[in-house]
Formats: sequence, structure tokens, C-alpha cells
Amino acid sequence: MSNEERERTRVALIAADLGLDRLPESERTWIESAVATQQTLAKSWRSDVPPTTEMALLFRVPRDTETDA
Amino acid sequence: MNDLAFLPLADVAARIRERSLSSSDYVRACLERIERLDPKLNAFLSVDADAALCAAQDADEAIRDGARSGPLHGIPIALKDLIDVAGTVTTAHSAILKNNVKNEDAFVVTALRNAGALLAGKTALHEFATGGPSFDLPWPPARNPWNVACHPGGSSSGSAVAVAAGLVPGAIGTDTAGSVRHPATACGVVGLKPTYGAVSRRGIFPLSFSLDHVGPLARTVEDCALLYRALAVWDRDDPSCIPHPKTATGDLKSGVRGLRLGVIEEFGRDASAEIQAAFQAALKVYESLGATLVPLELPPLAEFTGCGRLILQAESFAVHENWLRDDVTAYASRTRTRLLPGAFIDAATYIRAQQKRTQLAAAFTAAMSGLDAALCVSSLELPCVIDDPAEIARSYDRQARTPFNITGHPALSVPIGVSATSLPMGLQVVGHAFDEERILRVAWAYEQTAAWDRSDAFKAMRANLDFLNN
Repeated sequence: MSNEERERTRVALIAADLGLDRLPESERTWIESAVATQQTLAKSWRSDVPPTTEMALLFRVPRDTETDA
Repeated sequence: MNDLAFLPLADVAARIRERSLSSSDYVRACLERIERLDPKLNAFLSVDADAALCAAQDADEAIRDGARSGPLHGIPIALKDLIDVAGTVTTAHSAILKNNVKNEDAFVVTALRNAGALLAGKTALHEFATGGPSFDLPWPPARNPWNVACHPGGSSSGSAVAVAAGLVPGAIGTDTAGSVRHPATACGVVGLKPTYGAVSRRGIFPLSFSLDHVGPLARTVEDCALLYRALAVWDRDDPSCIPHPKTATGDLKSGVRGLRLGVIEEFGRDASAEIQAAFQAALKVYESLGATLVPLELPPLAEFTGCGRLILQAESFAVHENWLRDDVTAYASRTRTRLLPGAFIDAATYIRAQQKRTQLAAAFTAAMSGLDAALCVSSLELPCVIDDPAEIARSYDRQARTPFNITGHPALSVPIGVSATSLPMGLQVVGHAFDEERILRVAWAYEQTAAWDRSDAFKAMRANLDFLNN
């Protein structure tokens, strides 16, 4: 099975698990479009973002300043 | 009320302090205006008039006894209805939570009360702070006071509408992908998203834990500063809240001469011609005030918005998964289509999104080196018609606000004019982490010079509100 087929199967299983076939077609179309965008982003990040990149906290507590703690 | 309706919060506070205006009279005037105008604006989901008047009487008695409690003494504030108030319902504008009575105040409510504020009511939002304006919910969406046919922005819609229409002098919203700054821009008021960690989120219904921020909306920058200072109290019981340096007061009115301001042209490249022109005119104001403008290069806007959207989808699905599985029809159509895509994000992709976010935040921090603040547009388009789903869907993400939810830096939206179609436009001022005071100062300098709040366009909008019920 190719990567694309595996991904299609994964998405179909999740959609079935959530019962998305009961939603109106316009909603399913929106969700499919969002999922396609996710897949595009994931693919680009797999090549652009080094896998060892730290998931850093955004900001650290400044230890040498007066705080209102 | 009209002579009081658009009085800045700072002036109301001064009058109450000096006893030339009682809190009771002011609150009564606000409640009368809410009763008269809100049926057409839908800013409020609930108003507890008795509680507000009772609190106002207490505030007046305290003033008489020489016991003023803080800078917001006797001032009525509106809260986005996902912020808990003890003994009242927090609905998040959803049928799912219509009986969700809370036992405790959110930390920010306690902070506001400690500063002397009282609560006017709970305001409309997009269901669970996501999606967009929906007509298949128990309450209607808020309407833009500049044109009730138009979207007021969101998700803190009602908070911005209440402030813009002179129903209250200040309000609190939340901002996960721009939800304070969007309605602030669309309604012509000032909205501040503080630094991630500067304001507690405890007692506020979450949308996306790593992107959620809480911030104030007001008609002037000074009023926004007063509210922010009341909110920015360290909460040791909120793990995201960070003890940070005390805010330096008194710096607000010291101007921008000598400041170096980065200009993020990239984020406004796809903005409408009218918004681009207003942004360029605002830059000229800053030059005339003695600021040095410096081009600020960043990754493309789409990299920020894509990263933010994916993180938001994953985290918000985690919040809502059980309810979505129980009964997906309990949500508005627009809400469930925004929440359900999160089900398809695998763990590795979510982690890569957070890694990408680390890169983007580092890029912004590096680009800000040597600068005092940065400037960029807020919305790329004017508010669209509220009941056109295709236009809402097309225009909703046409904005430059999400980057600062991704990086966590403070960002403020301030009005920069009114379009040919009489709809407001906004500028963002962005700062270093925990440097809210400086972006307030930068925004204040522009506001004083441009004086949009005193312009004919703003006066006309406010005068037209009186005809809403005719």
C-alpha cells in the first residue's frame, strides 16, 4: 500500500468513526478541504522542520527582574 | 445618556472618584441604553440589571466612605460569555451549555472586582469562540453598529459591539486567532491581546490551550491600558500564567519620538487597496511624530496562519471530542465544520506544527531585535455582510492577527480610519514579550494625532445608533 493509499484509508476510517456521512454535503466538503490543507502542511513540515526542533515554551520567567509574583 | 455614552472610561472613573457622577447614575444610563439599542445589536446574551445597580450603589457608598477600591471603581464592564461569574450561567453562546451555572468567578473577574469594576452582563460570541456568526443557535449573532447588516468581527463580537455602541465603556474578550483584535478592528475600537501568560485564563472556557489569550476592548487606548493593568495579575493556579515584571505606569503619553518601529509590509500585501492606503497614511503619522520606520522581514503570512489553524483544530477537537461524538447536531453547522477537522490530525503532525511554531516565534523575536515595536495591518478586508455564508467563509481568514497568537507576542488593534462605505479599519501595534506598556504608548501617540474617535465619521455612526429602533 502506498503512503497516499494509507492516508486515504486513515482519513476514511476516522470519518466513518465520527459518522460524518450523516452531515450535509456542504459540511463534508468543508471538512474535506480542511483535511487536504492539513495534509499539505504536514508534508511540507516533514521536509522543512528538522525533527529534533525543540517545542520550546514561548516565554520563560525572567529571574533577575522584580515580579508581581 | 448620549452625553455619557461615549465618555472614555478614564473620564467616567475620574468623575465617579470626584463625585461629580455617581456609579448608580452611570450604570442606570448604560442599562437604559442597552435596553433601547441591544434588541437591534444583539451584543448581550444576559444582563443582570439588579446586580449591576446593587454593585453600583455599593460603589457609591464606598466613595462616600472614602473607600475607593481601585482605578475601575464603579465602572460597569461586559464579559464575553465564556468567562465564569459565580452564580450565573456561562453559555459560550452554545445550546450545549445553556444550563451551565458556575460556582466561582474566573480569575480575571476577581481581578476586575479588585480594581473596583462591576459587571454589566455577558456578551455574544461565536459558538465556543470559533467558526463565525451562526443563525442556528438559541441566540442571534451580534451586529456591527456601523452597519447592522455587517459582521462585527469575532469571536468576541458582543464585547466589541457593546463598547463601540456606547453600551459599556469597556469589555473583556478572548483571542485565539485574533478574536479580540478582529471585532475591535471591525467595530472601530481598541483591542489588546496581551503576551501569552500575562493574563490568567482560569475559569474561562478554552478553545485552544496554547493559543488562547484574554484581553480588553475599549474606545480609547488609555481605557484599554486601565483595563489591561487590572487584568495583568499573576495567577499561581493557572499553569500558563507567568509572573512578569511590573508594568511601568505613567509611560503611556510620552510619545514615539526616537522609537524604532518595524513595518511588516508582507502581512498587508494582499489587503484591499483602501486598507493599504489607510495603513500607509498611518505610517506617515508615525514618521511625522518622530519615529523611525524600519522594514521588518518575516516568513510569509500563510506560514503563520496555516500553523495556527492546525494547532487550533487539534487542540479544540480535544476539548470538544466527547460532545461531538455524543451529538454533533448540538453544535451550529459552522462550529462543527471548524471543530471536526481536528479529528484527522495525528500526533506527529501536531508536534511538527508546534515545532514549526517554535521556528516562527524565533524568527519574529530575531526580527524585532533593535526595534521598539512593529506595525502591520489587522484585517485584509472590510467587514462583510453577516448573513452571506460564502462571504464569511471567504473573508474570515483574510487577516494578519494569527501570527501573534502563534508567537505569543502582545498585539493591539487601533482604528486607522473609515472606508468610503463607512466601515472602520485598523492597525496592529506589536511588541516584545510583556512589553504591553510600550505598544499602548505607540498606539496612544497615533490615536491622539489621528483623533478618529473625534472624527465626523465616528460621530455620524454614533448619531445613527439613535435611529436603530425607528
